[in-house]
Amino acid sequence: MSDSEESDGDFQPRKKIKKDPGEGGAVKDDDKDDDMDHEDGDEEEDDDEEEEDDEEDEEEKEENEEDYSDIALKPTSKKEPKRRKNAKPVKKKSRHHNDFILDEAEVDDDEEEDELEGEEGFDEIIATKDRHHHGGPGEDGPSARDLESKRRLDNMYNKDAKDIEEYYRNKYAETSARDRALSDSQTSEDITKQSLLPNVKDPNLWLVRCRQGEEKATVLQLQRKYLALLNSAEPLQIKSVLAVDGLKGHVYVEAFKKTHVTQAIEGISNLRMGLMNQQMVPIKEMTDVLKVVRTTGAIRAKQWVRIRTGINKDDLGQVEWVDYSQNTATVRLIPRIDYNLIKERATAKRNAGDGKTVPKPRTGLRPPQRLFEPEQIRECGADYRRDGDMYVYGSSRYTLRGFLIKTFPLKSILVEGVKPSLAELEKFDDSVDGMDLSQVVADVANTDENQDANRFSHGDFVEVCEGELIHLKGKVIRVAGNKVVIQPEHEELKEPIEFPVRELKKFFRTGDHVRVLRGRYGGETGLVVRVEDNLVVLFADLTMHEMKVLPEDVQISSERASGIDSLGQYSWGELVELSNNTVAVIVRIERDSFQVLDTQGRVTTVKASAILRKKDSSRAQASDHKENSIRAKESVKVLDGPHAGRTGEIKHVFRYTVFLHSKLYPENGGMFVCPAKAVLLAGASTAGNGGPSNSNPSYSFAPASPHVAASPMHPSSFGGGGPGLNSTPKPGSRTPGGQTPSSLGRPAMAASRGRRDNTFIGKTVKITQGPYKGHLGIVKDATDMLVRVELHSKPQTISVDRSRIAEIGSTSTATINARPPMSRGDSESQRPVRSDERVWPQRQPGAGGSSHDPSPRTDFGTRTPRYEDTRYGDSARTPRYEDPTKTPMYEAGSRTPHYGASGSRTPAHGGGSRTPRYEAGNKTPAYAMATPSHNAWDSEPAEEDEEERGWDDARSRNAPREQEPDDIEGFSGSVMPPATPGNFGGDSAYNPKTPGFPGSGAVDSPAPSYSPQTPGGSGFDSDSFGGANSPYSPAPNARHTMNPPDTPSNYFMQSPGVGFSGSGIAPSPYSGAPQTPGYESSSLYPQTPGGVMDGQRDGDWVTTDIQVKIRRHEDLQGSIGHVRSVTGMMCSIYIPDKDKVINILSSWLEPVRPTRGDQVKILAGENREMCGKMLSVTGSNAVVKADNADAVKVVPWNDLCRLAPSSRL
Amino acid sequence: MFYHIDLEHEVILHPQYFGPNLMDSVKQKLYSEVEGTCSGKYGFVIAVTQVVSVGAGFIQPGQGFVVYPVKYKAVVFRPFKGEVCDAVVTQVNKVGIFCEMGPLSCFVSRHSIPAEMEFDPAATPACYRSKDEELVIQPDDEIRVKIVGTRVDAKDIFAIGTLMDDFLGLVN
Repeated sequence: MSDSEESDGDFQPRKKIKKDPGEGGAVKDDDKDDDMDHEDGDEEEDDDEEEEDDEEDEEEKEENEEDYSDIALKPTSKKEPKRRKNAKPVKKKSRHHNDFILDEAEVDDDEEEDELEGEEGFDEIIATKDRHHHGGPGEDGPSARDLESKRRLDNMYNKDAKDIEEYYRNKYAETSARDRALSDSQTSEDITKQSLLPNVKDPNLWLVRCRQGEEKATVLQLQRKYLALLNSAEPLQIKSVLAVDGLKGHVYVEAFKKTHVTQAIEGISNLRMGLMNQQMVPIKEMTDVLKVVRTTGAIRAKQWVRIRTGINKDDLGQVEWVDYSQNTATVRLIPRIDYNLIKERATAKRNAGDGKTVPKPRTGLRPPQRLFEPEQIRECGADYRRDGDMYVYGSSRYTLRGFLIKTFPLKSILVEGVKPSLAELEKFDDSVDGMDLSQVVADVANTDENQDANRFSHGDFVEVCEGELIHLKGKVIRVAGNKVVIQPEHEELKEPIEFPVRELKKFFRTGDHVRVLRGRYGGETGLVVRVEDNLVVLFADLTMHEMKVLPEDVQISSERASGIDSLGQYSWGELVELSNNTVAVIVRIERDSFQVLDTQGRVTTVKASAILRKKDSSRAQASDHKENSIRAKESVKVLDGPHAGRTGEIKHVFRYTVFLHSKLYPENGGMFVCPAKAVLLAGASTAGNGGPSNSNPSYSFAPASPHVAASPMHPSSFGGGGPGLNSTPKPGSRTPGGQTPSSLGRPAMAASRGRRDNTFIGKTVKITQGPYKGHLGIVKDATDMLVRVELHSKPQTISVDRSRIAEIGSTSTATINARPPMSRGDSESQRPVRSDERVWPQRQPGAGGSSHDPSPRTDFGTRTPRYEDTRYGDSARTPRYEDPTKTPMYEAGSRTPHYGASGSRTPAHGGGSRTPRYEAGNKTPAYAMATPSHNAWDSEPAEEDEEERGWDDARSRNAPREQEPDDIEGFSGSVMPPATPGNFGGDSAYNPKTPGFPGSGAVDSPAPSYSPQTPGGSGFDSDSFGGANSPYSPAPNARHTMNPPDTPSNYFMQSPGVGFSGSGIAPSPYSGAPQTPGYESSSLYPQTPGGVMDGQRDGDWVTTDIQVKIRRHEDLQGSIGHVRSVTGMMCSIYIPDKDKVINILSSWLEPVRPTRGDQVKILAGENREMCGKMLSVTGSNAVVKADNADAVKVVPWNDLCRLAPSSRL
Repeated sequence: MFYHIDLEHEVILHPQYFGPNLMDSVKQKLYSEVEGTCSGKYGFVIAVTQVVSVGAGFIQPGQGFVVYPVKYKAVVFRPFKGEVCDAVVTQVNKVGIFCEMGPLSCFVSRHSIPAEMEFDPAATPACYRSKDEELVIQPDDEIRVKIVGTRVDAKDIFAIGTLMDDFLGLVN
């Protein structure tokens, strides 16, 4: 504080002219002042007292001396010297009475002058001049003083110590009695000061108008005038002149009479306007004239200011230095250089040379802020020069970094209330060397601090940043105005302590959970990860961003909120419409604006008002890479584009764009955008199986549980099955009736909607979401999308979205959601190609569900014994079971394992509930089923007799599907899957996969492959299986369609393919594969030659480090290569022969089958990816000894692939 | 820190489970409902070690469901500020390292990683690498982290950690 006051004092522009006009003698000794030492002074003082100089003036003078030390600090005392001067004449008069005293007094007087000299600096001039003028009279002064001091010293040396002691004691102890009395209390000081106040005897102050900005110059001018006239006949009678800083356009003149003032200012042009009217300052207000008000807006270096005028108006600048005497500040700012103008001028100059045509700067437009670029100046044809580390162009100087250094009058810069925006600061910061942002921020913080007394609130943890208690920490217990009371956290400081606001700063520790109060991140909360001097780095709860904020702007947050996630009616992650046809997702909410991620992947900031409305995308659908229908909440994997490889949950679908969310994506709160075609539904096979994949294998739910009941077939076998199956099913009846038909029936899309789902009616469900969450009710009606639920608790029947209910008693809530049948419907609808219809007609014209059921079965039974072997886990299907021969196959277990595999996977899915079912239902059933099913089948087939139908039908797909669905139902998730394939298509991923995949999911799902086959289906219809084959290969597209049907088709196909068994239909092999739920398919394909052929479709078996044969390639066809990596559909293959690496579609590959003793990798089934050594081959199975386990496994030979030699380390 | 504490839970059971294995069903359900959950107060329930008692079931009027108050002992994991844990790195990006200590996910800010470790976005996978290239932290590595703060929500706990202390960092 004292610092500032001192400095205030320093640049107090007081100019005083001091003189004793009549009393030349008073000044005569000035030249001797220089060699005066303190002792002299003291002695003289002492002498004064000894002299008993009783005159009031004398005493007053002494007081003045006492107060001297105050002058610098207490502006109010500034008057004293002046007053003293007034007193001087009086004093001197008295001195004249006594020569002895006169000398002393003069000396003393000089002392005073000395003091003033230090302050003002111009007394010297006076002194010098005085000397000239008063050379004569000054002559004897020195000698007198010298004599006197000499005499005194002599006296002293001659005295003994005692005397000297006494002398000094007197001298210092005996200051005036009044002083002593008043010296020690605060009041005494005041009173002392009181006595110094001007009174009527003192000269008055006159306020004179002056030309603005010339105040100081005027004062100096008056001084010169005074000096010039000093020895003239009419010296100026004024005592002093002063200009006060805060007062523009006026100076004060001190004089006894107004006429003196008039006389003095006459002829001074700056004061001409004041000539006619001088105002006297009332005595009481005289002190105020010199009162120093602490200037709050004191300008200091490094401070941020704004320019008030000129081309740089409102620009931010930083003060480089301040020249108080000139009232100017040099500011560094970003120049606005009009390069065009420079160019024009340069051109004009060149052309005209006379400079008359120099273009004028355009008014109204001002060039943009840009750092000075020497190069550009040159380009414009002008020149600049270097001056030290500055560029000089025209009259302006620029730093090497391009900032303009310019001097402004203080009045044209705005100092207070300057709050630089971050953007502005950054411009400076970027380009400022050695200035670090935190410093900048600190400056800003300091600038603000006085204005912001509210930044502390009760409970804040603060640290003292200034003063003696610096670094003390404490908690705010009270805030009153600019004072803050804190409870220190210190061992010894127990009492609350009060601090001025500016001595405190907020204090945070790493790990504190805080809320941002204001600024760009206002409202967000986060954890403090780093604390710097003037910076706190937060890790936002909501967005996982880092935020840098000022400590002032944050507050420990007692609540555990997670930032703002809504503003107005919009909240985080919502899809909003910005204009017609443009939508975006809100990825960040700021104070009054949003950051949105648009469909192009750009993040822009928009005002809340720029958002037209929310967009509901809950019903929107799109097709993924494999034409699977995808919609919100599904989980997908990105195959292509910048986000390739990520997986995410679909948040929104808009036309061909999907907005995905992944926790692992660090930006935009995990939100990113992809074209729908670049993603693949999780669980769908990469190989493009269309249909089945639709559904997400997703772990999600076992759609089926409800259905469980429905599944006709199972009942018997499953019967005991999982609890899940509730069963009660009236299996037989339902299946055929309800579901089957439905599936069959719906020819096309959309049809599915609104279809009644009888199986669900009458169930007790719980509503899991929405306003009725938690209510129980009975299903009165059900469709694909909705159920009508009669609430237990209210006499009311409401419609509820299927996704929002859970069947009571079923373990999995999800069960209900996806209706296999329905899904089917959907899927079907989507697939244009469905051959079902045709087929049906052919075989079973009327074909109701029932017929279907049978048909498939029939088919199986009769034809495909093998099937089952191969794939068919579903016992139901496999009639073969019965056949002893086949049975073995069954047992062979190969399949079983698969199943199991699926099972195992399932768990992964997470659906705990399912798992159980799985096991219960699936496996067992499967096995068991087989047998039972047989029976069932048998009967059925028998009834219908339709083996043949079956065949054709394959079409049967329909049938199969149906069946499958049934199964599914029965089984609940896992089982169903197989069946489901078709079903889900649209809705639940599961289904499709289910069959094959159930667990494995989508990923590998061979299923798709099947589909292709399906196409074959059509072929079937037409004729022979053979025909079918062809379709396969080509059919990729068809797949989708087929998928659903797949199962069936597979069967059929297989049967033929089964070829193995004897039916000899070559194609069948595949089918087998396909059928097998996905797993097998994958494995099969590769295996089955035919399959392979067709196999093109399927690439999902591909894994790394295996040897593969290239089936299709321009010039490498037939080559053997090693799979280096697999990305989606593409594989990177190393061809040892050519020593090169190529990228190729995985579907163009086929595995190299191992021979005995080879190192192998298992491509499918539960042991997929396992490596081992093939010990032997038995029939279609191989015995493999796993590398990492002692166990020996029996694996279908077709599921094996030779390991690339080099991959073994 | 791990605690072995007594907890209570209400198991709601569907009537279909009423039968000889009733108690097993209750326990089974308890396990599935409790293990793996998190509460702000006790942290993550890691495992139920003992079912102390299954109280008398109360049949819900109008529903048939039965509510069993179950007392059990469980091992819980409650992270605290200042605790040092081993964690597995799950993700590394320019902002820092995400890691998991079992069920607890933890974030180590770039600011809390020693300055000599620098983010290397070019590596696959991205990693933090010390200047002498000796230390590399990448996904799936084990690191030792000191927890400096936790955010406790109703159903989850999130921690932020630091590597800036002795003996923290990569665990060999």
